Amino acid sequence: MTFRHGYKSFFRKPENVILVCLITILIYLILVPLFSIVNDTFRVHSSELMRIKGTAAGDFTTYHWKSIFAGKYSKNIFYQPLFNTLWISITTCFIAICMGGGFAWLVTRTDIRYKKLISSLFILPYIMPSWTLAMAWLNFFKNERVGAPGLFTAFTGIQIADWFAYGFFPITIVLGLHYAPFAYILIGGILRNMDANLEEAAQILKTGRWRIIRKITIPIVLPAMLSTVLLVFSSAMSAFAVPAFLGTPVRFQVLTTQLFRTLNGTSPGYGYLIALVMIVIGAIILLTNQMLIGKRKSFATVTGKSSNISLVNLKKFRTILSIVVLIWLLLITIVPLITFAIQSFQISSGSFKAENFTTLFWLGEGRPDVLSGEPGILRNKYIYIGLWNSVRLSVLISLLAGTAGLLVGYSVVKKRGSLWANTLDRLSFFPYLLPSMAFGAIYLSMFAVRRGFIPSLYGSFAILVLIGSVKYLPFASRAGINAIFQLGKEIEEAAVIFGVSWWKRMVKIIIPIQRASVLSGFLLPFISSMRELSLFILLVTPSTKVLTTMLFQYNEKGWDQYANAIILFIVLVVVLLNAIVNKVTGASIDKGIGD
Amino acid sequence: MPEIKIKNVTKKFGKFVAVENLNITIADKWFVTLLGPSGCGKTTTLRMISGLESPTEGEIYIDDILVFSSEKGVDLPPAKRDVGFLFQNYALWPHMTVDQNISFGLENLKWSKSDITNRVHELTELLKIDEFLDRYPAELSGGQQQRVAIARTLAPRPKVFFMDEPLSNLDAKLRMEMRTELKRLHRETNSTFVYVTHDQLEAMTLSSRICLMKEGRVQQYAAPLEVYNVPSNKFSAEFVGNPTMNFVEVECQQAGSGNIQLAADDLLFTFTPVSHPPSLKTGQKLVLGLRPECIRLSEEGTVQGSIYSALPSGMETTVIVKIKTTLFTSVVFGGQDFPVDGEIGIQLDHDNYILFDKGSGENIAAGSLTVSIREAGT
Repeated sequence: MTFRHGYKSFFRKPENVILVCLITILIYLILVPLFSIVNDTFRVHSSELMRIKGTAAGDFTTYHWKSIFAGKYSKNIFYQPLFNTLWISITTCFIAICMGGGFAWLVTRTDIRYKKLISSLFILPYIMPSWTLAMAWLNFFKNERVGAPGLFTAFTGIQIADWFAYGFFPITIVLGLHYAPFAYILIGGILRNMDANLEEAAQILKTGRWRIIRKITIPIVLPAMLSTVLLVFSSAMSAFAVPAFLGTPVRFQVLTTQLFRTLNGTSPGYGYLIALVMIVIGAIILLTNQMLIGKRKSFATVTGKSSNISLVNLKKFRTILSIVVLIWLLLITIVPLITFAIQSFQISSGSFKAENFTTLFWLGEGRPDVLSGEPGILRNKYIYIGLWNSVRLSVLISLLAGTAGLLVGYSVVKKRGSLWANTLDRLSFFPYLLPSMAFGAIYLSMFAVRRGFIPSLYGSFAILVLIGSVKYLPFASRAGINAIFQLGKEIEEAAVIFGVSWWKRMVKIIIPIQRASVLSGFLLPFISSMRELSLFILLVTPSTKVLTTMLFQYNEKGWDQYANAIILFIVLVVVLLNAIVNKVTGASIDKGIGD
Repeated sequence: MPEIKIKNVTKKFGKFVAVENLNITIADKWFVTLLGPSGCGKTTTLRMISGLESPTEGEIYIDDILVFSSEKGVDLPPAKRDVGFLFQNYALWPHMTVDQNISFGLENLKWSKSDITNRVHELTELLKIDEFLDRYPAELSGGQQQRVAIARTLAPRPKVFFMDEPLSNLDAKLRMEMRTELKRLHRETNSTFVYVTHDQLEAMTLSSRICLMKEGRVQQYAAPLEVYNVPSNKFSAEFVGNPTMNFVEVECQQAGSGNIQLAADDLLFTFTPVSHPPSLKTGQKLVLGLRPECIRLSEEGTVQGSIYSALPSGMETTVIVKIKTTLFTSVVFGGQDFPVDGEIGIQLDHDNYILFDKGSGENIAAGSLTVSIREAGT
């Protein structure tokens, strides 16, 4: 009786129902696939029958493990790409933290001019797809290795060396610039919330400016900085498009490009194993981060409100520095977009003669002598199918992930501290640490065949929606937890006392009050999936192509003009949408991340 | 010896004037309290003297050294002003132990290791926190954090010691205790204290001078008891004292050289100034101020009323008496209770009732009072 009674009263509370449902679903969508992929690393796949002699497809084998870790070609297949990946991630972290942290300090702590403009320009590279800058780099600096030279050579006549145009150097620069806004948002948030009195107290005690930064500011910001390092590291590790664009011409391989090659080629077993390695690295990072965040609590500033911050006076450097910063930001945000526009109007790149300019790639019906007679993108029905797929996919993902995120937020905050809540909290954050492409590989392995009541999903649109929703749940659930947490429980309890139903409480009280945070929980998945490539690339089929995967294919074929036109298109859609939502609701992409 | 002179200091934040034309002198070894409601400019004033904020106009001298002048373009950074500053939220560095927090300032001054250790021990013993040297701020209670912050501020022996609402985050009991110790500290350190608070009781009990501010302007700058007994205006009178002074709006009926007749809604007063008679016009709107302790309850009072409410605290009882439609607050010492709605009269036998001008709020005169019921039609 008592058990039944307890059971009944447990499920009478909506937060408990949500907890149990979401945990069950997420276990199925996140943890079960992990086992499936481990299993796949020990199986013989049909395309591998030629090499693994005397076996049938589905047999148990240790072939993949042996040849990846201790085979003749291990160095080329695995160790060199692993080393490249780690080295790229570390350097990217360094660049992102220095730039993002530096800018955050300038904007929050000094009297630099144009703060608002700097802030919104600086966020742009993060809102744009990461390969925007990679493409721009190619537009500028590509050399004869891939056909026509880039703008730089066209203007100056100077030949660009391979190391500068392709491989490690541009990859780290581009990824560093892409993730710098992330560091900017995280570190800037801490700097802004950090009690200015802590620095003033040191100032009064005759501490020099450098010593204040070294002994007070940095140690206090350090936990947030470490967190940023880990998140940037794992993001850089799972980047695919940038190394694919910039590394391929010189055969510079990283784990993700290797994963793509093997899974798309004849050695899926290798691919699954590489994905597993990436997941393990991701999990180690998650654990490290959790430990650091746990410690951070003791760092929480003790009491009281923060007073108005007195800003560092840059004196005579103020104007010069402001202008230099602004020019730099224009170089990495607006100028790339201009190059896309220019390239998309040129028949052959690098030539600026009038007859070389054409609207063919936008409006043309297609000329058989240029790029296989593909029509211009504004008349191309495949582009419209891709666009429709992208928008449809992003809307569905945003609705699913956003709603789930809000529910996660509600139930986790309501049951804060309980085992169930902690489980859901971690589970919903876990997809963040799964490298996108490895996650795609997991779903490929898991849903290629019928599983229980779920039919084989490979090639369907549903699998894209599913994977996108799970992958972006972390953004949405962070925003949801934030929204409910800030609200405090009294506001809802006041309605409970009046006997208002749960549904009404959510729709009439909680969501309207926290509209901005809630909306950013929907906005983030939308924008992320609009520009996503590596998550979908293993799972799309000709009928489910989205804009980004089309772009990748055009780029692979060397149809730069189409690629440039599409990227311009995507960037404009994403940036415009972000601006509109920001204007209308006050929600913005930086809100969800900068919690 | 450090004397702080503030001359014609104005501070604007954009269009908002936080402090307007401030002129005060703080003598050596004084304990000056900047008192006022929130937003009155007291914290801004303190931050300007310490150098954390730059005034828009004016001059500031500490110890006869010009530390700020808008005209001469002088603006010494806080480090060069030889001051100590205790923040409202203590601003202890969360990543340093108590020991490191206190020694930090001394290391900046390049003190030797042994000197630092001695000074830290001296202070931690004085403030009774010597057992917490290796703890982090988050591991201390509010009161202990407060002491660490005081020790950190005092360590380099600043000439002047600024405090910004240091007790506002403590509970009532601890606040009482710290008040006692701050006063001892002032005596023992022999330095000048400038203290910001919105708590009139703290200002009254601690300071040698109160600087009462409102909307960026000084209302009164005087010793606490003077502020209490001779408030310069109605704001001063109302802000200082608990329970608050009673105010009765009256109209001057007859202004003579001797007694002045004042009429309230249903009460009549005769006011006899103790000093020179003020010049009043008949029909002038005035406010009469009566301190609660100057209203005596008695069975055979000149006017009779009923007890509206009684709040006994043990040591004293605050009694609110209703006479006709006017409420008077009175304080009776000793543990007495009064039945609500019981009959009681009041007697006004002091000579420090104060007459304010209603329009300007200025203190016009102090004097003695008699009260009677105003009959209908008079």
